[in-house]
Amino acid sequence: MSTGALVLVLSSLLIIGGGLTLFLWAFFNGQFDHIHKGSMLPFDDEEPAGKRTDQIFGDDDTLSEKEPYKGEEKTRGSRK
Amino acid sequence: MDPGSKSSYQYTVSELDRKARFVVLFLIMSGVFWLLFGTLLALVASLKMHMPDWLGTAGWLTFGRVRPLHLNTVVYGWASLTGAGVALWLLSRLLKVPIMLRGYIIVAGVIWNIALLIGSIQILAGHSRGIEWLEFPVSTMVVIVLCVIIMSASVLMMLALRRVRQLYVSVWYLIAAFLWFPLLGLVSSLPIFDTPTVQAGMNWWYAHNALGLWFTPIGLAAAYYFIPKVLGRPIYSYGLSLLGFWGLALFYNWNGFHHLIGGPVPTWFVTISISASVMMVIPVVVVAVNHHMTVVGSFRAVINSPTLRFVVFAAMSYTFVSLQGAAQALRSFNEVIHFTHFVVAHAHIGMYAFVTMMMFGACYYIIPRITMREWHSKGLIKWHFWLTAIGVIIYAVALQGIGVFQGFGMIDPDVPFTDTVTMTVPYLVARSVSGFLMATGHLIFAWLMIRMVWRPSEQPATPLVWNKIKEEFAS
Repeated sequence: MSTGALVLVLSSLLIIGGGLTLFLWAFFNGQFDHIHKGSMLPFDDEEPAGKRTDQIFGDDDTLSEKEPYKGEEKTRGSRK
Repeated sequence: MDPGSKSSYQYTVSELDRKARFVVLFLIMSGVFWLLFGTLLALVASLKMHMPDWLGTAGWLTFGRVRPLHLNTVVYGWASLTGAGVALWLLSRLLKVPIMLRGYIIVAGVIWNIALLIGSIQILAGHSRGIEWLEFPVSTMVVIVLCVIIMSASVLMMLALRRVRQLYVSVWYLIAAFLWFPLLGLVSSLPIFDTPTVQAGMNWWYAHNALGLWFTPIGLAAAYYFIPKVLGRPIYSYGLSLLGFWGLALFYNWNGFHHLIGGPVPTWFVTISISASVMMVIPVVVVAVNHHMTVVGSFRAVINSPTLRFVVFAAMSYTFVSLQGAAQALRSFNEVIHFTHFVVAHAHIGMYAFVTMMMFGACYYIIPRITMREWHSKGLIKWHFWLTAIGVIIYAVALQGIGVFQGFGMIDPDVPFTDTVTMTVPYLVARSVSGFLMATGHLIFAWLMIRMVWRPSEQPATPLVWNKIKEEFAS
């Protein structure tokens, strides 16, 4: 195998190995311990879940009754 | 305060956006300039496909120079610069820390733009490297990769100094992108791919991974942030989102060799690539289901949001182009569509309908928040969306439709080769029409961006460029 082909194979393995290393780090770092809470990470007190944003083509910036968001637990329960 | 946070001080969203303002605006505005330049080149190249004599007397305007330059300017100018700006803003929001090394990133951005300019002149002068997606001279590519490495250093610093403990799925995608792209760029610039066969292998290892391990993670990170954020509802399944990310990390990087089906490369190279391409169906379907289940029931909110119009269109395009790519990797399918316009359209569905539309959507969300201004015209945003969406659909349908007939004609010994060329001409005209639609959309977008940043009779949001850069270094 030529040097170039060998470098390509090793680079591909490095990408996969890097991915596995990241996975192991995430596992032992506790990143998967509270996986159900992960979906709430884009929201905070200033921009909470339940409040729509960017609705500039319409006046409605709150969730309608047909699509309620009433907290993490209830949502997860209703989507099981 | 988040009980799992790593530090007591919590930045507010407006603080983070204010600190991100100049660097993100600079990267995105640079990207918009290269979008317009790349679009002009695309129109010239498209018209030449059915009017081959047009501008044919000037060597620097021949198809062999204009078309590669179009690809390189939209990939490394528009999509990469804008993508980097979007990625850094997302990381700042999700890690709850300001963008680090802002002054260095601005200097890197200036150097990146100069490298693009020099590389563009070199391609037009006939000094292309002759490798698809890598036509810029090695010197230009190395400079671009070094600029990305500076951004990667910023990303790792933000990760180390983050104010949250748990990492959102978008952060995983973005960290990986900023680690993968420097590796791809540096390996592809090594002077060791000296035989045509090995060079072809490197070509498609790099080109396919640049799309899948640089642009795709940025695009999906944006989708996973903006869909829940705009709708005000969390992603359907966080576990599925992580499965999608790890699937991409493990399966994608061997996909590129399926471009060499039928080529003089070891069969096992290609067979592994086909297997990996088909395995990509798993993370793609996972992402599609997750996005669909999050959006379902909120169609009105999608329509009302300029961001989600583009983002949802882009997310659907990602699903379509990825499943199509898995099918194209099969030998039976590939032997028909290889060397046809079908593949050209496939690449544009990936880089335009997915990546570019995602970047448009991200800009519509980010720019008002970092400039504290509202868009100049809602009507023009709608025009931008419909022109680009209809344009790329016409492009894809026309070229993929005729591409199949072209492919069957090329493998039929009873069909003269010239027939397989002339049959495509009406569809190449349709491509040019679609190009004009998209170009008009780009002009509207550029106008909206310019109005956002520079308004007559108002103090500019980012005054005195050099003073601003000094402030960024000092902070």
